Amino acid sequence: MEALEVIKKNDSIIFKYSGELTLDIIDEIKNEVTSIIENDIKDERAIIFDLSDVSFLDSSGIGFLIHMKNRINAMNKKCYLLRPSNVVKNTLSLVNLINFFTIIDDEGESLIEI
Amino acid sequence: MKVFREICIICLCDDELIINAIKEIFSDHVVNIEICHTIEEFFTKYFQKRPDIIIFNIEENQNLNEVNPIEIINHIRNQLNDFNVYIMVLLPSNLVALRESLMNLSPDDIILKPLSSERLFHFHLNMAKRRVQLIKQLSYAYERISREIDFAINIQQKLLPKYPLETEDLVIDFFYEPSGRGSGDYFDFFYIDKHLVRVIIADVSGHGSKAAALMVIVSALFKSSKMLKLELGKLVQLINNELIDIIQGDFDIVTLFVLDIDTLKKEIKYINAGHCPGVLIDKNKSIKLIKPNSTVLGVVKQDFSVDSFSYNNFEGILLVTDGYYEWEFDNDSIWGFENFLNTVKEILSSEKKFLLDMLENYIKNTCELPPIFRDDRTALWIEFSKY
Repeated sequence: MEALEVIKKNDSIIFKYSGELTLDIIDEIKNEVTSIIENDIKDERAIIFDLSDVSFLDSSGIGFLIHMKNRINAMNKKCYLLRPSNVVKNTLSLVNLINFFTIIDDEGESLIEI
Repeated sequence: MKVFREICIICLCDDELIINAIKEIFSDHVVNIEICHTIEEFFTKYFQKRPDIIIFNIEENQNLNEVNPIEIINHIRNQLNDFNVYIMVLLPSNLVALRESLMNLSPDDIILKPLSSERLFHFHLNMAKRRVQLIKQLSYAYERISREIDFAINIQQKLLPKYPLETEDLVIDFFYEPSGRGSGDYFDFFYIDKHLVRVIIADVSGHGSKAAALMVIVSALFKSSKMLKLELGKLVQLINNELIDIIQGDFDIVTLFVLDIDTLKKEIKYINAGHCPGVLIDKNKSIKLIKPNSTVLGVVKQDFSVDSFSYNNFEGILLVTDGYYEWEFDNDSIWGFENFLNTVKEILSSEKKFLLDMLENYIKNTCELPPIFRDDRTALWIEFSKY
């Protein structure tokens, strides 16, 4: 999937998605991210979703982020949202979910916390 | 698997070899072979019979003004958009230019002549036979599934209130517009006691049959609270626990705003579980947002705290699902909650009283191009002081 970039960096895997995180695309992203998380993760301690270029987030996108965070936490890994765009922040705030996620401005922050 | 035994084939030739091969290959079918010699004749038969297979047998010196396969195939594929009919063309191998033109028009099979053996034509006819059977089975399955979905949607629609509620104490009006087949939006209201009205608006992520099925579960549990007289916190906990069991492994969520309106005490108790804020309008036409006091449902087990307020000084409360403000605005941008709120404010400043119809009209007048709604849209307007 062109809009999803996967970057392995230090102890983290970064999923950078550009565009609208909505119902139309969510199954495809879910399959790709889940496959990487379940099969490719070994020593990585953090999974980071770079949402700086997400232009729209609907309820399916919110559902994806929530369930992904729970799944990652269940694997004893940390989950972070990196530089979420204003649209993402506003949407998560509107439904009282902004504090559900750990938001970081720099991927290095995830390592400090670990 | 259902097997379809009736088949119609239009041949643009009367070559005995071809007709006999068809009869042999389709000997286990009731086969209707129509033979045509002109374009007019062909299209008359085409519209009458809706054939499964069309066979052209082009001769080397054929007058293409009488039967021009390019013209016919182009019309079928690009004008009539019929991609189901199987088109087979037998063509002399030296007519290279015609072959090139034909290949651009997506016939299903081009067989070059002279044929090396009769069996080769039988092989091609068998391929056509299998493809026709698959197309028929697919269409049949699609129609069956469509009927099932329509049946489920019909049930889903029956779960929603048909009429607004209008009493001396309260008016509850609604607007509901599903985005397609199967909606994830749900709303309902009913008296659970003499002076107590329970109202719900909920939104399952996504739409289609999966969202509709989850919506039906929320509805069933919500309706049961009437009989069981469950208090709000327990009701939402019950819905949440059931959803967690059902959703597990999938990525769905449900947002929900549920209120108990006590018309005697003029008090509202509510839980807003990750739903977009309710818009509370006071008698001076200013607004206050009722933001979520708990998180979305279907994710983690949790307790739900119930908040309350007196609505003595308020005119009403507007509840919507996110489809009401997450729609495509001019130039591909999303309209958004801020614009939605501004529109509500605009109505309040220019109209005597708030009505749902006004919201629709104002939204449609907001943008130059007609709005493109992506999601189901539901709005509830609860008016406290009509009388």
